Amino acid sequence: MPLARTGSGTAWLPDAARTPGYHGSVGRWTLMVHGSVFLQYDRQLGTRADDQLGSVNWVMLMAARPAAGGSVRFRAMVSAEPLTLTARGYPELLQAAEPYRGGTLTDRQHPHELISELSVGFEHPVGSRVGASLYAAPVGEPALGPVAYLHRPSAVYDPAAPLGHHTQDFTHTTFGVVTLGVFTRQVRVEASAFNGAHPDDVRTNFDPVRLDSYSARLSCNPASRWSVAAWFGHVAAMGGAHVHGALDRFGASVLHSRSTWSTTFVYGADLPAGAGHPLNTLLLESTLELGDADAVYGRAEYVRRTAADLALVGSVSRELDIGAVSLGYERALWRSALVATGLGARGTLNLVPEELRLFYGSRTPVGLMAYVQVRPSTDRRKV
Amino acid sequence: MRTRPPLRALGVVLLAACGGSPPTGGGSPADPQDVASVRLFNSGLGELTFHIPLFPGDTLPVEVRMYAANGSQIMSVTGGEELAFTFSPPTLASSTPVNGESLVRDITTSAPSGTPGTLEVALHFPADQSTKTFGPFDVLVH
Repeated sequence: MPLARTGSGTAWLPDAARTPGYHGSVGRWTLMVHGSVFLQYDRQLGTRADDQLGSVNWVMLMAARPAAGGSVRFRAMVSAEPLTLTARGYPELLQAAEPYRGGTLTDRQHPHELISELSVGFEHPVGSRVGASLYAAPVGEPALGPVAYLHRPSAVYDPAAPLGHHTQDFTHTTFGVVTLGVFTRQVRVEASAFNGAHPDDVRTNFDPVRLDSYSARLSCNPASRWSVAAWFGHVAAMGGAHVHGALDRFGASVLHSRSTWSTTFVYGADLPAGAGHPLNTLLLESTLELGDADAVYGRAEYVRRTAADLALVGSVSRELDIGAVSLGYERALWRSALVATGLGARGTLNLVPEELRLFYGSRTPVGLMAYVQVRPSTDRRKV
Repeated sequence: MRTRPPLRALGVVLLAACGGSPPTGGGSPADPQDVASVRLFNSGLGELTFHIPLFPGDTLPVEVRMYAANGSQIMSVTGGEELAFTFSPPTLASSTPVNGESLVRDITTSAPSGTPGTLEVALHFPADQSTKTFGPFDVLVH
């Protein structure tokens, strides 16, 4: 399987996707490093105004080698965000509320775990055209959802998480995952058992590992520029501070990459047990690189939020429709053979219903970010 | 953890300078119209806003915390407030006031295990004779 197809967990990118990183080899080992470090000033406006100087960052390390007639792959992802964003994360209007130290944190995006992935994968041919795969991780990503946003070429310049993150790719950091798959060169079918619990609000520890939820995903790369996937999962109920009922989660994604232009479409939905209808989310994001120095990107979203998502139970309708349109631009500052830096800015115009005007100051609350990004200078460059 | 007054004042100033939302009510009481939302808490169980678990024979003290539109907690309101709970169905549970705690009521239920329902919270403000209601909050007898 092409190395460039490696997304997050076992999710596939288009073979033509370009993501910043390095790869090389030592003996029989193939090594890869990729990641991104933003230093951003985040300013959210309106009644719930807030700001922060912080850093969104992550690094992923991978080592693979032939073994037992197949190939084995070890992967680790780490982030310093618990320190650089604090355990409260960064301000982001209308992001889903999360439990925090006995209360509820609203309008903020949580930081990544200090260790977001520790996994081992094994792939072995079964016949001439078919292979089987096993992925196991004390912390990793089940076969549920699209390639996580931070690993998508369409979001490579964007430091902010989508508003639909908690419905689409939230499980990219899950404490306990086992995935079995069967694949050909173009199609993969996978099934996972995983931990349905949210990571707790202490982002520097290991949460208890368990397997109480399940999912399945069908992925297809019909051509080098395309990757499509569809998934279904059942997430077990849990108690404690992060109480939620059991829910079904399903969706589909389409990723397209051609040289300097990458686009992602995601439909994701949660169907809580006993609910008569799903809570839908839609995302369309795209990044266009203009020559060597400039990149523009955008994201348009629709999310169906519950009052609980906004910590406004009892004060607004049980469900609300939220929209958001983000546009960003990054200009290259300096580039060496290994590292590229860029200066960027992004703005988000949120669209909320009338009953949220009181809480956000208008029906179009705005969020802004200015940032410097440091990343590998080329696409999984061989070093 | 207690915060020394000068440090607390500095913190409030820095928060305000950064556009943050310092808690109101540390000084003068808020106006009744500033109360935009409420959340429900229990000292042992934590936040109950999303789900209120009742157990037959047990008493559950529920504290109502008031919040301004910007999400900051309101510690007191000019003229005080009067709290009332209404359950649906009415046979789901009942509540009684707690001496000296105007924002806490004790809830008890005799409904059978598995009974679902809702709670509506009403805050009456004598200062301007206004009443605000919040809910429904989901209740389940376990």
